[in-house]
Amino acid sequence: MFLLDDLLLAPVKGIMWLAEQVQKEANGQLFDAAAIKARLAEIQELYDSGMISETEFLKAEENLMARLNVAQERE
Amino acid sequence: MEEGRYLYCIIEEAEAKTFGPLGIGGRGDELVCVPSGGLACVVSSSPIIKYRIMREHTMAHYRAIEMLMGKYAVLPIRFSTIAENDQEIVEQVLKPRHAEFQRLLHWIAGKESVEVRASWSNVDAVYQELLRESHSLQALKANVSAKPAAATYYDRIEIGKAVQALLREKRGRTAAKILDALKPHACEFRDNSQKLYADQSICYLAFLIEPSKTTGFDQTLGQLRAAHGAPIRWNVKRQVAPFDFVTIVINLREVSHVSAG
Repeated sequence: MFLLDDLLLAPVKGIMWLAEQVQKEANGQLFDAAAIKARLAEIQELYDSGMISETEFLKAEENLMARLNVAQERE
Repeated sequence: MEEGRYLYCIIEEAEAKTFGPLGIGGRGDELVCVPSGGLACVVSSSPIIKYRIMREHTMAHYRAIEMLMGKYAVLPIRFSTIAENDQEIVEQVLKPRHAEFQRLLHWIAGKESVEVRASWSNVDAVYQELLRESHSLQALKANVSAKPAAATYYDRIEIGKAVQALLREKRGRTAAKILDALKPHACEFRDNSQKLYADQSICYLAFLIEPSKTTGFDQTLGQLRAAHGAPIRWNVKRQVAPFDFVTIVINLREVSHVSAG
């Protein structure tokens, strides 16, 4: 019975497993503290070189710092 | 709310000195030393909360440490570390870890932490160069040009992937050349380039340099700038707080109150 259930449910479970892996990978990149810090340095540079406005810079910085807060909560 | 002490860094100082109203939180709290056994923890009064990572707070933390670096070798403490009172700092931090802090202070003393970031000034020019150099990319492009626009969606995705891969390779080669040229002048280095996201970014490096190697480092950096010319923009920060090389982690308590701003 259980083997039959597994066989019947395998495609669904497979998709769910894949979705979980994608989610894990996305979270890993989104909340990687080192990556966020590198990105903070990048947007600073974009602002210093005039490629983004102060408003854009501050907004991006705020978003990145929010992610850094989450990253550090998870540590 | 309960009042405690926000911790910034460890320095070699025997007296209870003060360093001005630079405390975190915008209240004008004085930076003060809590000394013990020839070392001191630099602190300011603060509510016992968890400070959210945001510009105002991180800049306050960083500015305090940067100011002290002008006078002392410093061991930066992790952001948002708060003690209940001075006695806790002496008994739980300075006394038990005295030998460790002393060793680290002597290790870091006199050394300069330098951050080197490089990026392409004109990334479109880099794309054009990649296209010129890559026969496979030229073939892909020719293939797309020969088809009606509506039929080229997946081809354009393939071109995008190919360009990204070539850009990553070029970034890696350029970053490696910069690192290989500069690292002989440093006693330690950190390469954060793998974490870079933007297309124009090349490298994000940190170096810890002894005083005797500073001239050589500067000369090599000058040579790199001259060799690469205008296509590469450099951002070099000197006298950076040495967070990349030493950050003191102190676990005193779990704080549940989070700063509102």
